[in-house]
Amino acid sequence: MPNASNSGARKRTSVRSSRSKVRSAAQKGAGLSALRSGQFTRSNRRRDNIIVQVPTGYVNQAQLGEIIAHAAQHLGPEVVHVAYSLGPDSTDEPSLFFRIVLADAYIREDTITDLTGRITAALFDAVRPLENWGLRPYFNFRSKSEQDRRPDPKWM
Amino acid sequence: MAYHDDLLAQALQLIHVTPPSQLTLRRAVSAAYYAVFHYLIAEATSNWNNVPLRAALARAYDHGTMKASSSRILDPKKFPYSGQDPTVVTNLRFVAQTFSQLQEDRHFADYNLTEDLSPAEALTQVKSAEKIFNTWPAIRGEQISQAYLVSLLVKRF
Repeated sequence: MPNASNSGARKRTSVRSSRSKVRSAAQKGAGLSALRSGQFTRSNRRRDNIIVQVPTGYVNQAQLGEIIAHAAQHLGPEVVHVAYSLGPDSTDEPSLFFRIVLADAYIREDTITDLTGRITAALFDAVRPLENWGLRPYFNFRSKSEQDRRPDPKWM
Repeated sequence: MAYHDDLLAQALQLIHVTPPSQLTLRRAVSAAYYAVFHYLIAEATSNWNNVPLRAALARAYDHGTMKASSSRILDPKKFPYSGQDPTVVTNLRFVAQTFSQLQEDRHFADYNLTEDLSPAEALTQVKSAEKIFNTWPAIRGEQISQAYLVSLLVKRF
């Protein structure tokens, strides 16, 4: 189940998936936090509210986490873990960043584009980040061995 | 070869440097993004009949506008593409999503040194750029593809 690493949020929700390869949106301090409309920057994050507000509306992280967790269950054995976070992209647009850890055995140059394309399409279709959430989606991939060698909380 | 082809070749060369370093990985991703950036602009400006002025016209393209336009067509509510060939729509959205993604990846590669760029991340990014080069020729003749190229230049399309 996915992990939302929206730093700063302190409340935790009860949303959890039984799957072991991903963690819920509620874990890792994600909970539900708030951002003021039009001020979608890290420095403006409010730490203890239950709703994330972005210029196009509200993001209920519990609901988002459930959707991502459900989608992650169907991604196949190539996917070890799905993490995600909310925040502004390089142009300050509210965005949804997926960080997907892949099993090393499936990272091959001749097939990696098809694999990541399939995973991207599956998450995109399930979440519908733009039409349902007003969030620009981004997808990044790394290998399990890379994550083990240099653990990054954003990918956990 | 065209400049964008050279950039893609450089990205692929850099991604295969052994052992990889942050220098080679980050330069590979940056080159991959600029390969796509210049490729799409070249495709758009190729519609301009006055060939000597195409390079000047290319200067009008802006990274932010191109990214906004690319993100916009990913929303099926705003761009349902009803009645269009689903395969063409899928490929066009792949190009748009990958362009937007690569721009974000380049931003990280060129500016964010707070965390390492992993070889697998860089590989997926460079290979996705290569896939754009393989995908676009099949859809460039479609009206929705040409409309996308125009939208890359126009802030409110």
